[in-house]
Amino acid sequence: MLHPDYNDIVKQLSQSKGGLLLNLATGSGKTHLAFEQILRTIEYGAKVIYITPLRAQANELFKVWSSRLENYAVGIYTGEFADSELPVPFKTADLLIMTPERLDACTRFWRNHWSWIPSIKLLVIDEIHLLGDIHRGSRLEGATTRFRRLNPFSRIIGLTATIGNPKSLASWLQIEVFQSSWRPIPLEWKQVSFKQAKDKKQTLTDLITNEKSQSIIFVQSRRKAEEISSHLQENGVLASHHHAGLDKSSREQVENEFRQRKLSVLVCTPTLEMGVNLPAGHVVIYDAQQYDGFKFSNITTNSAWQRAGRAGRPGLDSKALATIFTPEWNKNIDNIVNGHFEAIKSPLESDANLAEQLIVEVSSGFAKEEPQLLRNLNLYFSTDQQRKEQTKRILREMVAAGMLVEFAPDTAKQGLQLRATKLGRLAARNMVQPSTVLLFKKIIDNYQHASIFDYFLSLCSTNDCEPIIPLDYELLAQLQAELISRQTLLLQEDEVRLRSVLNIQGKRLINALAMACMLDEFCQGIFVDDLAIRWGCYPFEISRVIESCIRLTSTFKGCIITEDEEATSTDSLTIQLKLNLISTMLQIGCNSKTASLTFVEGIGPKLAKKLYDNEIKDLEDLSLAEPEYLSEIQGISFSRAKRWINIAEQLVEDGYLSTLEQWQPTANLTKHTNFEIDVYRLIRSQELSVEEFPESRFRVEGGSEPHFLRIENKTLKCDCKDFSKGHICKHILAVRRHKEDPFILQEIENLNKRSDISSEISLKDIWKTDLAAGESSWR
Amino acid sequence: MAIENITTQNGELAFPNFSPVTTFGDKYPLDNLLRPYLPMLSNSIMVSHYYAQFMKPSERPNCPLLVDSGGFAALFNNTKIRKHKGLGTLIIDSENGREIITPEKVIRFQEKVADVAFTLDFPIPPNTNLKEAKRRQELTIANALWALENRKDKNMKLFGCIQAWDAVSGKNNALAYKDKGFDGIAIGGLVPRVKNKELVRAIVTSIRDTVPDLPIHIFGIGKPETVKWLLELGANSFDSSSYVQSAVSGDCWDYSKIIEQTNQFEKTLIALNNLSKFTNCSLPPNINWQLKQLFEI
Repeated sequence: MLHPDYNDIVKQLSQSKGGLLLNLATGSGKTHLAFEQILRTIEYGAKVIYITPLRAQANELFKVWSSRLENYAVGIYTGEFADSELPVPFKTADLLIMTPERLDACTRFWRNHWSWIPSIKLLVIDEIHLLGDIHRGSRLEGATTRFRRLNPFSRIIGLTATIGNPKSLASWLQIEVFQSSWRPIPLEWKQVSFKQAKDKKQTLTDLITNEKSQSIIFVQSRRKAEEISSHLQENGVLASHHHAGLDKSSREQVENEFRQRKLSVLVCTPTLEMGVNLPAGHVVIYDAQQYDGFKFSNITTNSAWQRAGRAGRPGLDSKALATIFTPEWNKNIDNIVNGHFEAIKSPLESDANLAEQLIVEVSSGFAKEEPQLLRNLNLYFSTDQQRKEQTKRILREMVAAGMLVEFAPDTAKQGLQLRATKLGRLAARNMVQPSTVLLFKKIIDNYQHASIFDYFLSLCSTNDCEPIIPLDYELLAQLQAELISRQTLLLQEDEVRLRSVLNIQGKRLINALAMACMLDEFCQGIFVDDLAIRWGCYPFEISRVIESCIRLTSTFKGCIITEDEEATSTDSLTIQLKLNLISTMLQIGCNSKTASLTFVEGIGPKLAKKLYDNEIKDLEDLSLAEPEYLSEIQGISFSRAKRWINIAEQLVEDGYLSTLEQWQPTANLTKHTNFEIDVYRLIRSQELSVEEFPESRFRVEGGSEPHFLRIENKTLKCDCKDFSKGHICKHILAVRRHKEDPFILQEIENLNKRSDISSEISLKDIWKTDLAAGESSWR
Repeated sequence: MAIENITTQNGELAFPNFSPVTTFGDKYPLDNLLRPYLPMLSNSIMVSHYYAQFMKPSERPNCPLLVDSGGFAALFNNTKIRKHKGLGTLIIDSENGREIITPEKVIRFQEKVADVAFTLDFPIPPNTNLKEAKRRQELTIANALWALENRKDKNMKLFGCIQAWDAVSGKNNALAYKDKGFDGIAIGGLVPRVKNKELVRAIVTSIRDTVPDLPIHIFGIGKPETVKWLLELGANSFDSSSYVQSAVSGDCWDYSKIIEQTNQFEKTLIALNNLSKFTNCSLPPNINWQLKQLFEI
């Protein structure tokens, strides 16, 4: 069904000089309208870039548009394709479908792409509200700003369904706005209230079993998605779950089953807010509140509408229904139902994001001196006096940190010039935050004898390592036991120094420690699936962390040589050797001894794995092997085997194996921590109020919803889900505090005492450190 | 008489025409940033014979390319004008040795790259003695007529160049080309005389009156208001690099203030703005906004 304003929109699209921000409801034909403009542009002989935030959607559009535009070259440019594997090279593509990160790379290395960038006449940015995302938004903002300077003639079409400040965004992009709330299938909001959290599941089950349409249920966490999905299955509903912890093929399988109507319900996390085309007749927003680590708050109107946008299948539904679950005591959802969308803000307010963009501005040749840099910042989405001061401060800090240098120019006419140092260029080239290379440099300079575990910990501590795998408090004891047996220099530092070196603290530090253990165990040959069970996470998450760390290892290696140095010192060579080993270890999941097989010229990670599978587990094994035995392995000739054995003999004789570590646990952890009470829950319990009733019953308020507790057989029992999982929940802690339990009172007193004075590291102390503190610094 | 547009293999040269001057090679990196966008604001581009030699096939603009003869080198101290077999040649001595530019060398190269070519002429600076002035004009005319006779690629349009110091010499030079088959006439040597409005008016109108049916191109006119005035006198086509030279100094013709030490992208925007003053093309809102950010904030 065509949009009722179709003709007006098309007219405005074709007449607007700069372009158009299409602020239309989900399902009202934004992509179709954009496609018509794309077609018009490429028919005219020009090129088009289409930005989509999700790889899955890029793949879907690539498939569909390649067949619709068979006379034109359609290319796809996402992280899945290395430059050498691109289906269509940049230069020959008429339509370039990319992720924001790929556009970012093209504008950073614009000289390599100059042959085609000026040919772009239209840039389409789908889901343009991503600009406000604190993680990915700054790179989209930087890429868009640079693109507009590189190609000032290109028109821009922005597509969004949910944005509170379309005019200010359009004003920045110098484009017009077309807004309409029309939907081909009218959306109806329905509110379901519940008194207690324990009622929610049954209410949902009743709702779903009475629903004829297919439903998508949005919940806040992956575990909850699985839990609700199982619950519905137990009640005879054809349900499954979908979240980012699943691998690509599992996600695609679930999506296909839902499309083929083999499933009537899909329970998912907010990852399905955007991206692949997967409509349903009914959308349920099960969790209308979200916990950000400190407090509960209502989900944003933008998010609620993104989710509700999935409701309504063209040709199948006459109306779309979005049901939102709200607690009795917090029923006001007027903002959501009335569509009062939140304004998006530039994520460059974050020092870390701004620092990254400043480095790119200088290293990519967009600014050569401070006044230019400050002027360039005027071209970003939001800019004010505060930004100018922030920029100046970060600039000074980056010069002091050795990311940028100031130098006197050849002619007296010019002011001080700016240049990115090798480290600065490395950060810009490898698309990592400046803090990442500074951390790596710090480790190289100050911890020459860092262990492999220390390198893992450093990799996992960066903002560029993703995803961050959360760790439950209940696994702290396991983490401690693991850490005690690790060889590490970093954990010999006291906690204050450790936080300062890694520049992380609190739960983020705990996560990094746990992720480093996972990497270490993976390299001891433990399968990812087993690791996931052991650490309470998803295999896909661990695999992504491994991939991320392999990429970061190359940045780590780049930090070895600085401006005036050459990597010829013994220490530098040893570090380089270790990082090479780490890269191999992570690529094939082997220990350092097996990875040492790659010291032999001609043996890469894949061949090392092959040798390992054939009982050649390290250099020593190789040096003692018979060439006849090796040549029986597929792909290894006799002469090659002979040559490898000779090299291995020589390497063993030269003592290469001595560069590998000896197993000596050196961790510096508090050995006897009581993990019975989760400090985090204890902190949160202090915000709760307790009302006591007769017969040892209690009502606890102050969290997302009230909870009721009672004493049975001298034991406090709570109706919350956390308790049902066997944890000592915050409500129980609140009641124990209310009853003046001396142990709890002592623990609360201890909260304010830290073990800073101790030289030992306490995981429990780290756990309770305020997460927000220290996040403002780009370093 | 209305002057008809010229159709070339790379598009139409529509009158009135302003061709922004560009270069190829590494000497002026700003031109490499700017060049892809010149066709957005003008329907043709001018490049000198010297810099056209550095043009890679992939860099060829998708619009009519005008290539001059490089005769302006006659103004340099290390260059001599010699008559050889009745034609004018340039002998340039430099650290790299001697280079001889002949009418044949010029046209053969122009035939490889140009849509519109200009014959090898020899500028006559003001105050040149009459004998030398006449010699230069005589050789300029000889070269033009030879080039017309010896042009192999008829698709390449050929403009006969005129060098004159007054109305009579302009008329005589134009008469030599009248009805010979040139696609247009180009007038050189006006830049150092442009302040003498009466003289320029006399030269241009005498040529216009002599060849009323041919387009007239005038080399190197750097101000939009001068272009406007010369259009009224009957000229049809112009070229200049002033738009980019001003941009290098941070001089944007729409703003009174000059910003020193601009970066290469700011220079590009300023140059595009300046160029639009010659071609009367409107700039996209993005460029106007970026310039406003640059000059007003």
